[in-house]
Amino acid sequence: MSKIDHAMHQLHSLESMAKEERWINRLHPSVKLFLTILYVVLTVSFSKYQLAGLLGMVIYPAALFIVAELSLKDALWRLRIVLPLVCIVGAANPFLDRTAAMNLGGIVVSGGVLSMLSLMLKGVLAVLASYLLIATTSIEKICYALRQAHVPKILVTEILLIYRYITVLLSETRRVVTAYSLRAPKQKGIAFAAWGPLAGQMLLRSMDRAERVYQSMCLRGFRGEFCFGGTGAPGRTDVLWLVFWTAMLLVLRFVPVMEIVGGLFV
Amino acid sequence: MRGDKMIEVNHLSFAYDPAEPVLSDICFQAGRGETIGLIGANGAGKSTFLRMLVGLELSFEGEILIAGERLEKKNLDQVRSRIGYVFQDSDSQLFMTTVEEDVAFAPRNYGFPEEEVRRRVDMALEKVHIEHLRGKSIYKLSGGEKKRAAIATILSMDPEVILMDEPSAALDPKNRRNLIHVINGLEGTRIIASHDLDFIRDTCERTVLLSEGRIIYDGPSQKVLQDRELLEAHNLELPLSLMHVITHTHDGSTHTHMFVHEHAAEHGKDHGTGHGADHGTGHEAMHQADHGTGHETEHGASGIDD
Repeated sequence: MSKIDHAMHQLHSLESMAKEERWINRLHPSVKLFLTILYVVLTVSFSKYQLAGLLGMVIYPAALFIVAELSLKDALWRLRIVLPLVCIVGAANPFLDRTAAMNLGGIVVSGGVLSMLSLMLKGVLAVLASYLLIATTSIEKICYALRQAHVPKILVTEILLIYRYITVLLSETRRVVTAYSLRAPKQKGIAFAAWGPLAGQMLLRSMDRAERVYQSMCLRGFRGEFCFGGTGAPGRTDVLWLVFWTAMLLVLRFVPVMEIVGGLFV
Repeated sequence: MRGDKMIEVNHLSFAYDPAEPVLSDICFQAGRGETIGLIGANGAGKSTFLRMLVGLELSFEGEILIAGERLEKKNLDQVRSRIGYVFQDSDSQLFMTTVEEDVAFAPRNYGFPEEEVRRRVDMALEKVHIEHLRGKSIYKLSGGEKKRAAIATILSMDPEVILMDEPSAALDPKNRRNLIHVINGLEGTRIIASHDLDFIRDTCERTVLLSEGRIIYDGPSQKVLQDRELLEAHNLELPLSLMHVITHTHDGSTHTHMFVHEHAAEHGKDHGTGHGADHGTGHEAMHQADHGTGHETEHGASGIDD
């Protein structure tokens, strides 16, 4: 399987995952979106030295991974490109902030190391929470929830169209690259001289195809806004899930749970 | 023409470049419930004509009336709600994640309540016999399944007019037969643009021949599809099931028989099988022609004398 095929397969498998008939997938998208946003906001609101408190926030994604029967290993593999970037953010902190912040059994840990770890953890947790949202909610439902939250329709439509056109671009790229490689069998990769024409071809073909997709949408009554169906008002389970996790996240954020638990053993 | 006028085109002309007209002075009418084949060589203007009927090209001269309503920019939505257009490339038509969502796209956009949307989706999937693909991801569909899903996406609009651009392109014989069956089971006015003359023969009672942007012929399909001279003059060939002319001698004279597999054509119409093409009758006839056996009558051939 080529890299492009693999990318398309990954995209479609994520979509399939989001459409599975699991309990968590059936939860109201607005509830899941709200909790994800709340989680990310609360996670990043920890101060840079509150590593212990931040560890408590691991509970939410851990619980979701279990409930949704998703594999953490699979998630980390899918996020292998994003996660290192997130981790790089705080990489310079140990050099910039060398003040001693804590002593771990005789080992002095500087403020820079602590802040680097907390930044990394914040990033990883935020990315994992987003991943959990898209792995359990289809893009249409996320966009529906965004519209329910009064996000401007132009923005939501843009998100949906960009998402749709990723596949269009990928499939056109695959065709162009396949056509090229079939006529350059002994060549590894694409010759530098061909980059320009191929990129131009891809752009033109993608635009052409995107236009046909758009025409097809217009011919079926599309007037600038996607209409989402099949999602009624939140039910009792949705409300219970929302109340439980809102309370839980607020407690994890504002009560030093990890320190209290730690105190029990000291 | 059956019923009252569903489509009326008066003196339609169109050009992307004024020096090269794509369509010139087209006058055409289609009645309710009619099935019309639109044939012509590459560049004859078939696809452009269909695109114009659905309002994808509006900078034309002349007039297009759909159910008596003039096609204009201001009433485009209204007119389009009556017409379903099946693209040649199903991948361009299917853009949602699952078949069900794609089929539900149009009724949702037209503001139907969710219950009605579900009813329409069920109806559309049933008509093209793909109920079992309801939840399947679009990208996992085969070519034939995609084509049927694409037709379902427009059937959920319950259109009065269905336009199809090369529906049989890139389909294997089995899927092609299934498609004929589906199309013959549809209601409403249907216009099918195709190079596949056997397909046209199996689905359309009337055929319009376009050449260089002009209507050359408009009449019964059986007549034009047997007119080798006319077809060849406009860069087309007789349908495979009709193309083999068998010449053999009786009493010292030469008779030219056209192999017309009427039984197969009828069978194809009734059961959507199009045996005329798919069972390779053309090859049989060619074989017979080569050997001068003239066995065509055994196969129910009519043996029309030229």
